[in-house]
Amino acid sequence: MATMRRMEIAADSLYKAKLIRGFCHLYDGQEAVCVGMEASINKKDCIITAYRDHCTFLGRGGTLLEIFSELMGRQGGCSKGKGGSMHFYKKESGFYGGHGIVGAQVPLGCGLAFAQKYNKDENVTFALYGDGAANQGQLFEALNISALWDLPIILVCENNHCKDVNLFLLLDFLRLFFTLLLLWNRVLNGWLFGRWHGHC
Amino acid sequence: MWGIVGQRACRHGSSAMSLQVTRPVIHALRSFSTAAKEMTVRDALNSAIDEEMSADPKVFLMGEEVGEYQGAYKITKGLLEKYGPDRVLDTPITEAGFTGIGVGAAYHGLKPIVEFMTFNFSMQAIDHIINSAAKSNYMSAGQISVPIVFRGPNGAAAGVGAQHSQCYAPWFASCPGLKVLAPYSSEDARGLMKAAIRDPDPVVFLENELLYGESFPVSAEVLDSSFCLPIGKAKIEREGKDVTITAFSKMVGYALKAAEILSKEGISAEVINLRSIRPLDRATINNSVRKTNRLVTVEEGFPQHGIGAEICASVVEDSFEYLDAAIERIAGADVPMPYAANLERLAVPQVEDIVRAAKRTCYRSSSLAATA
Repeated sequence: MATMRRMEIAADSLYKAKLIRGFCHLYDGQEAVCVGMEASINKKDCIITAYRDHCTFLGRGGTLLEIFSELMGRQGGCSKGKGGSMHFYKKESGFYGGHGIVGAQVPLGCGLAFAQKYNKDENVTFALYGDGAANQGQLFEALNISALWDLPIILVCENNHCKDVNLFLLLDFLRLFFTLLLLWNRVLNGWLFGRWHGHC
Repeated sequence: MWGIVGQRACRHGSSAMSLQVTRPVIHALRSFSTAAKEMTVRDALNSAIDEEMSADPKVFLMGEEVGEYQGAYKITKGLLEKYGPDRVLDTPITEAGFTGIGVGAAYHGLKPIVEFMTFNFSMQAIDHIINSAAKSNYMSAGQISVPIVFRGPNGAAAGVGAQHSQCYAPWFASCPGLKVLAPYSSEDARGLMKAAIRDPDPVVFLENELLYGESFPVSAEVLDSSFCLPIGKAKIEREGKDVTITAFSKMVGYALKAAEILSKEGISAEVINLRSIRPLDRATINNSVRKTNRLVTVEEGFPQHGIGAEICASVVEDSFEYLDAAIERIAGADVPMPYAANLERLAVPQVEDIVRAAKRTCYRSSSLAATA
């Protein structure tokens, strides 16, 4: 877990130095989830997640060299530099990525579970998703089908509150609050003092 | 070629002209007298899927109504009884969900055949077709292979209106990582479906509802369970020397009829059945244009950014000096498909449109601008 934390902080510095391009979604603070999972599963169980996949990949047996090489677009990366931060895979260890579209990994994970049931494996699939993806329609579609077909899928919601408040939303909220305050002030002035025109 | 033999054999010669036309056909029939079995496109698809499911236990089928209802268009008839509910799965009406599940199963090594009731509904699932299936092999640097087939009827049916009539060939064919096939005859349907199921990459298989019931002669070779057609190879349905006409799916039939009409007017048209939209057989198309020096592309879909546009670009890039006339592009009208029968007829290419375009390339009639 300590390695994962230091790795993510280092990635953050590299991103700010523009050595990592595009997107870089960090898992610091969430390390316990993937480490806890790994402690109780094996490499034939499958894991699939969205784009916050650096630590999950490390937990499945990836190396720091592969991770940083991939993040910086080098051939030595786990996807030979062709994937980037959001597209780490380690099929031989049951890690199926690494997906950029919010929520898409959930039906894909149910498909992995379907294959495990079809092959009569004794294994299960873990599909990780976040509070944002929890709104996706395809998640409910996949859940419905998984229930109908009794698939060995475990959905893990990592609620890091990313969806809740972001800076722009906060600014909008503040702007709205102050506009309403001003409007209330004008109305109050107008009613109390008959000052409906101009402002004092 | 077999389609032509079938069509000509049905015509009764009544004039000297048609006797001359049918004489080579009778000769051909005598040579191939053992290969006279006919098969509908529906049966061709059904038998191909059946044989591949029998040969490889990893192949399974999923889609709406594919099982108990025997298939919305009866393409998957009898397969549920034969292979059971573990391998033929009826899904709820959830394209995004079940397509994702199909792609995930393919990630793990199974070989799903996902049916869309029509490709109009593939738009619900297009993120999984493009982002989850097509791009994964590249993004994972070869680790993840996605041996999945997306199949279903594509293009205009009859009177189903704007939301149920679009041709999706150009959309899928523009995406690297996908293979896009469009069969015409029963031989195409059998051979290409088998190739698609055996292929380790995602394949979009564009059928045509109006062709399902059409019968074509099939040889013993086609009926054999090992029969397979190569992906990326077009077929010259009719040889000619004056103008090349490219087409795919239902339009191949129209192009062949147009070629017949043109031959009576002294224009010998070469008809190419594309079979494979991606990869496009640029070599066959260019070799043909280098021979005939004129080109008419035919497709049912919208004209802008269509298959014809890509073929035109390919020929201009590779065979510009060989062209003796401007390339003619015949496509559907640039409007959402209307419902009224007379408007619908105007919105899709007709045989006369292909004939007129071919004549224009041969300078046999004045250009569009002059007649407008």
